[in-house]
Amino acid sequence: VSNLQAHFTSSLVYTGPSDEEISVSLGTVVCPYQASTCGHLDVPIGTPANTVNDVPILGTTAATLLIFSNHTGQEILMTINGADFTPPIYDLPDGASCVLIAGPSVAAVNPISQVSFKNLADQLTAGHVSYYCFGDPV
Amino acid sequence: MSNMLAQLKLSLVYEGPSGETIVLKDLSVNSPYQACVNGTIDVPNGTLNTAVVHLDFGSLSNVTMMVIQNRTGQEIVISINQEDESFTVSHNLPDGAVWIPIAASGAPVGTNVTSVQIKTTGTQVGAGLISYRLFGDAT
Repeated sequence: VSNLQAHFTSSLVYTGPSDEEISVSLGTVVCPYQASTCGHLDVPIGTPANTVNDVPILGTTAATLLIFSNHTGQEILMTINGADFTPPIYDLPDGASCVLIAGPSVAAVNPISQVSFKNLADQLTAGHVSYYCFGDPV
Repeated sequence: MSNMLAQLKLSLVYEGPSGETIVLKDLSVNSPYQACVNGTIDVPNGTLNTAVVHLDFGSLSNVTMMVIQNRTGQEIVISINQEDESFTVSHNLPDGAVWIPIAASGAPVGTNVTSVQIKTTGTQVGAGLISYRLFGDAT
């Protein structure tokens, strides 16, 4: 099967140094894939602090597009391609999103094959992270 | 002075498991900032393999949004929050790729993105550049 395509488009609007409005189209990246997995990873109420969750990107060993949003209600600690959180990579606040890669091809070396996060406090209400992962093009 | 806002919009169109077209429209994040740094890092023709570039954060210490685009023509290596020379690799970014490690309505309370190092993977052929847009230090 020929590669499927995910079309990722992004744009940015902000205020410049002289109060001018700057509107930037960051363009569209066509991300090829054979494997995809999209969903919610639930973080149930009562989940203890420091619980590690691997984002279930399943059979995707080399991501071309990976979007991740934190809807847990708390800040989480993220790590990319590192299982032991040493050193930590960085925190992602509640409500934040990240695009860990949106590429027209897979990285030849050190592709993203694993993303994990740790909740920093006990989970007080039901929460989740949402994710869109595409990769493994031929 | 009240915070300014950088508004990021993302949209996605892809093919679902049954061949259906799935459209994710306008995932939007508003990131407040008092400080921003936007620009390009040039990677001149002939830049040697494994040259390391340190992204300049200027006065920024609490990033709420960061957008990086690889326009070098070659794959680059990313290292995050490694101030020393160990250059612990996070991942590689192919040419033409976009990387948005954080787009948040506030800076993290804990570990912020405070440094990014980028390394070339081959000798640079032709002029290339890395685009960056950083926002943060919201009050």
